Amino acid sequence: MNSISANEIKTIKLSIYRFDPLKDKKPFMQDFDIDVPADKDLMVLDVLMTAKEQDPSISFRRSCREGVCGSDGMNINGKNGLGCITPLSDVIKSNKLSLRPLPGLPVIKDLIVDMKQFVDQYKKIKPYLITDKKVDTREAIPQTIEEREKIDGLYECIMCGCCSTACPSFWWNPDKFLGPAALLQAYRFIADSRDTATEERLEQLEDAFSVFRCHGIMNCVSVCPKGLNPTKAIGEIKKMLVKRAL
Amino acid sequence: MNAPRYLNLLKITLPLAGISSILHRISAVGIFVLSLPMTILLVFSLGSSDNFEQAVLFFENIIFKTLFFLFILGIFYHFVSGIRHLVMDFGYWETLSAGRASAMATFVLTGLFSFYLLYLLW
Repeated sequence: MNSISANEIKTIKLSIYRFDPLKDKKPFMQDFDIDVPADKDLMVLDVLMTAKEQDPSISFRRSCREGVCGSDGMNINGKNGLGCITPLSDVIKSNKLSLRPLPGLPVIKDLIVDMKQFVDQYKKIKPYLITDKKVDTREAIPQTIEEREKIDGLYECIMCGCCSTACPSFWWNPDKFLGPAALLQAYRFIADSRDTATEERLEQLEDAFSVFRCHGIMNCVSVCPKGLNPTKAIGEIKKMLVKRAL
Repeated sequence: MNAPRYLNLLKITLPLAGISSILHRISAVGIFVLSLPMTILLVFSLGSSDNFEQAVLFFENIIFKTLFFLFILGIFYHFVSGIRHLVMDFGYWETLSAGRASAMATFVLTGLFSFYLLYLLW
């Protein structure tokens, strides 16, 4: 940044949600003026790191900075996404960038939320292969190409939480509705030819809340940083549940 | 302590399919609230020719006429949006682009119908 001349810099307004449980009674938005290069794009995480140089007390999670670890999920100008792979030019409006925590989850500090409710729902779907066959787990369980293709678009989820925290059904019923991320993973194991617990998995999902609170508003699809489609996976589960009931 | 939760619905953006879905619910509430008075008026109007004449007078009141307009428009929107949801339940239009297009189609159809309804009522 030091080598950039003044005419290559533009200043943007960055507004960050702040809350420190040891100091603040309620959250507030803090504004920063951030200099960014005018001739090249930055990621939102880069802007946030620059703000942290101004105020080291700003707290947020980040790790891989390339959309793999899923730790820097946040609400960026109203839409959930990963700061590290969201270009500033895609989201900035009127030269202003507002960063808030993932909606609906308890805020620990600033942009850091408590993911317990999200992880608890993930645990419920038993996110591992269950097989009643006596298989040597040290050996690969063979699948045909067609069987393997059925889990494409499902296994790539990085559990960043952007989808579930963008879902109104999850906001209102975070303990009963499993949320798009957990349901995408539920279908990932239901669709997996190596898994033999389909019946048990479906039985666990057939109540009024776990799956059927999804009303297909597609916010999950809209915000998924990996381009996955939880709405479609949930639709497949719903169809299997209906077929099973008939 | 109670940790705050960020949930400002005015700041969180929803895709077109989300707005369509929320309006589907709002229209359902509107239909539910207005169904009873509209049904009472209908039953009253069918009682006799005098009753019918009196019921017709209600439509000279701009507030009643507007409520009636919103009631019929709500039913139309709820019906079209409901069909969209049923199609999705059968496994179609589940991609973001299809969801956006079908939501837009719902709005356009309702918009066109609103003009027709305005023409009929005024």
